[in-house]
Amino acid sequence: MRRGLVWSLVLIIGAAIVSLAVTVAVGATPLLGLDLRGGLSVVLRPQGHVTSGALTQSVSIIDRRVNGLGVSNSSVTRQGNDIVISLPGVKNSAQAFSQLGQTAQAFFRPVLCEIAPYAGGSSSSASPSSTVPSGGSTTPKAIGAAPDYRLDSAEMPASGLSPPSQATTPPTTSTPATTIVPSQSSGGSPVPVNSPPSQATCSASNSAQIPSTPVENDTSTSAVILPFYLSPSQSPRYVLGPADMSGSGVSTANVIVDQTGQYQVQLQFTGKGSSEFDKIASQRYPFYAQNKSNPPYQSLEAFELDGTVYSAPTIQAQSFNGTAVISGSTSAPFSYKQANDLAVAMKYGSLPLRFVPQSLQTVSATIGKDSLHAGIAAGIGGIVVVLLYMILYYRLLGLVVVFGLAVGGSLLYSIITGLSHSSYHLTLTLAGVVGIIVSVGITVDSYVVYFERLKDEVRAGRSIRQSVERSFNRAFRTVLTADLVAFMAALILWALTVGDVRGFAFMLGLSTILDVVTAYLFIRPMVIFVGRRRAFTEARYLGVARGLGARAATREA
Amino acid sequence: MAHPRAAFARLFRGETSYDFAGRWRTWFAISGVIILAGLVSFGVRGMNFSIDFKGGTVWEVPSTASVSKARSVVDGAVPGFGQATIEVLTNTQTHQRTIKVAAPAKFAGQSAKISAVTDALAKMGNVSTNDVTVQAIGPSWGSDITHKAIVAVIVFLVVVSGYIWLRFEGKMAVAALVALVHDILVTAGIYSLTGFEVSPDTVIAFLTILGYSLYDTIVVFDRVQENTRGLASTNRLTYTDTVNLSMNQVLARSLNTSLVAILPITAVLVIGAWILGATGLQTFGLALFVGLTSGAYSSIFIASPLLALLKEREPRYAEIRRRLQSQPSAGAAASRRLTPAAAATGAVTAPVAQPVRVGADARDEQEGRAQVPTGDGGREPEDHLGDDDARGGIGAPAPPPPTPASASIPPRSGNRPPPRPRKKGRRR
Repeated sequence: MRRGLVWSLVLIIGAAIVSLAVTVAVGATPLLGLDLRGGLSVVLRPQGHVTSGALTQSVSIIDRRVNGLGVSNSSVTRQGNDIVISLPGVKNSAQAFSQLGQTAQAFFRPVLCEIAPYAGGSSSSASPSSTVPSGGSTTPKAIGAAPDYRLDSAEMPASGLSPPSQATTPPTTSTPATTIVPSQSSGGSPVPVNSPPSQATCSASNSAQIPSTPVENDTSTSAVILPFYLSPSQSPRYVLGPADMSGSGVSTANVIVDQTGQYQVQLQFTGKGSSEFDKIASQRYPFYAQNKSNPPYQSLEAFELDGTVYSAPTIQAQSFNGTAVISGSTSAPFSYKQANDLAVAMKYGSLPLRFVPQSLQTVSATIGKDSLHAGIAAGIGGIVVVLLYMILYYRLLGLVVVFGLAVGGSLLYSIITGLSHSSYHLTLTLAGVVGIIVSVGITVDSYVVYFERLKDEVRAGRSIRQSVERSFNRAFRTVLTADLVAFMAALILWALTVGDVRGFAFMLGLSTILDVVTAYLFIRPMVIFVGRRRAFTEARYLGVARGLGARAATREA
Repeated sequence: MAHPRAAFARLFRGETSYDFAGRWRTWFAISGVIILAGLVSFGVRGMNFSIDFKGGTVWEVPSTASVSKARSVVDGAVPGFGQATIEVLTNTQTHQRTIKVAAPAKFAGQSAKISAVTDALAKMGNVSTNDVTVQAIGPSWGSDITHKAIVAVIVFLVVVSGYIWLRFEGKMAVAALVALVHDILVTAGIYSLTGFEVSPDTVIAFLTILGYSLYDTIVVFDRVQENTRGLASTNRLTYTDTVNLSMNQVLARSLNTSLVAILPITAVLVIGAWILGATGLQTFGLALFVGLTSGAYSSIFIASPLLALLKEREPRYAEIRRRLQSQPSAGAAASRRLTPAAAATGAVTAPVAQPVRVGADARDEQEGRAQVPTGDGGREPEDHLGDDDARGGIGAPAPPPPTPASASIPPRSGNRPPPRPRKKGRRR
């Protein structure tokens, strides 16, 4: 029994010391929420009919946009149907916000040519709205490299079996090059420094310096320069004409495996989509038929979602009758992930959700720092006052509270820091800080419950020695009940609310669990230990007896 | 009671015997007045909901510019924004001036206009745009979080009352819920009366208080449940008396608990909000402060008296009351008011140890002793306390160990010759 008590003390104090030491040694600190370090937070709400799949897709699209901003510790999470984006310490919040709030849009566009990856530095007055971070100036790949994908009819997946060409004369009047409408309408956002891309861009010697078209300028009527989604900073970019049709023409898309075991993406068009696509195909196919071994750009049709190109296959049939298959190139077949990414993009590009920002908050770094300092000062001030009161009231037992809070505090800090750097990405917000301060009350309460029980026992004539163990069992029952209620409150808050509330509830719930643990593993053995030593019970000013009101004991013993 | 220090000393020694449950009319009246005033104010003035509930955009920028200058700057950036409310906030510590611009909901979601104003204000304050704090809230956002908060409150109430029902009993669940509703009404009333801004933070803080208030109530009920176990068969105390005893027993705990909860909150309020000027802390602190105080009050003055009222209606407890009231030896009902110390020792000490006690109280206790059978004979607890440690150490408890406070009354009747009142009970 006695040994068990010692062990539990050793265990919890050891755990506290070790975890704190590790945390400090690693140099880790909790991730601060943006209200404590400044930054931008946006809550986006989808409009209209929302499906879970569309939402998941939207989250991953927005996540990609956020990553494109290069903000560390940013997070995009789903809370119910809302998408909560937080960009702590973001440099240009206005621009970030304008990029995030955009609607996901999918288009089929004619390919004009390929140009080098963007290598423009931030040195020049480059467009502030570039979506592509400078990814090092790698040597641009040869312009005019063979297109990655080809598109043929579902019935004839084998590339050699394309239908016989019927219109050998290409309809020159409607070649993509001639239909480019230089975009003036760019949706109210600042017009990028570079002029809208056109055929001329293809031959521009400084093509690597021309930034890609920002997402908000990616409209159906404009010609655009877009990177490839897998490696926007490395692979060649596409110069694309105005959209031929929107992604909503695709009704569904799935990954299939062909006879040779390669992954392919099978598309189903809607009725309207099917006729639109067949019209495009009849224009593109003749170029392919002219030169099947090295098809020109005019035979490509790019599928683009949200400012990046997912696929730019060659059109290898004139009419598709509602179904088509996209396969990887012979030199680089699709991996499952590639095929799946494309399928998902095509499927959900067809039902893009429109998002309306519900809440936007930018906090300046100065204000964040002030809040943090205020929170810490308030927390320390509050804890000091409480501990002084405990010592005055319960004497030596009050010192046990001090020690216990130190143990609990180290554990809490280590856990918070640990969770910050886990996949959960827990951030400490101002609300969380308040939650921790509030939980001090809950923790100290457990001691008060125990000590008052102890007093009852001593009043009943029992010795302190006898009382410490008996009263713990009764007190622990009360503590458990009360903690359970506090925990339920925290859990319900956490589950049913959004935003700051969750941080608050999380800290509260965590502290409650820690409270039960420290109550059993620390408070119990510690008080029993202190209660057994005459030196502790009878000390003149700090004695346990004095703290319990057993004044007579010390005087007359 | 007259002297605070004496009252504290008695509380510390467990020598209080306040009649909490009996004076329910007083407490209910006090709460009734506060709640009524709150409701009237709510009807007349309503609540001062923050931007989060109404929707709109707020900018804050450090600047020494005047309000009219700010107005022309904002209006210049986006015509129509001149109607925005513009105020100057000054930090009492640093004397830093901040211009706060609040525009109505219709502009929320118009990112171009929002950033135009942000830029203009940054230029005015001669700071970078990142030093401008912007908060834009869509019109439906507030109603949505309010809705979620309300759902959370309802789920919480249902789950917790279910828990209390299972863990304790139905009437306790009812009493605890009434106390909770009391806290909600009082806090809402105070917010309406004072015109303090209600933000989502306030709502969160509020939900926490509900947990806290219940927590307090549960501790009291836990003790009541313990003390009333077997009460019906002992026939010594009425339910109300037991509630009073329990209340006095946990009084020190309740006050200490509330104090240790309120002290950090006060620190949040004072240090965080006043001195360092963090408004976020202020909204939290205020709601928690009001709610915690109300919660502590309601668990003592609303939940417990109400529980006593409800339980006294049960035939078995009504029976006890009738019998005890008709009992000539018992005298006034007040005579059954035990102090925790008295209940703990089983025998009431002579009033020597309580110099402050006078008149009725002292007499009460003497009579109280007559009520409680004293198997310990001439044992004088105050003296024995001194020996306890030594005796406990030797492990030779010569006199039968006194039962602990909580279980003092009921079990005693189990292992001793049935006391007088018990016989009466059997005659039933």
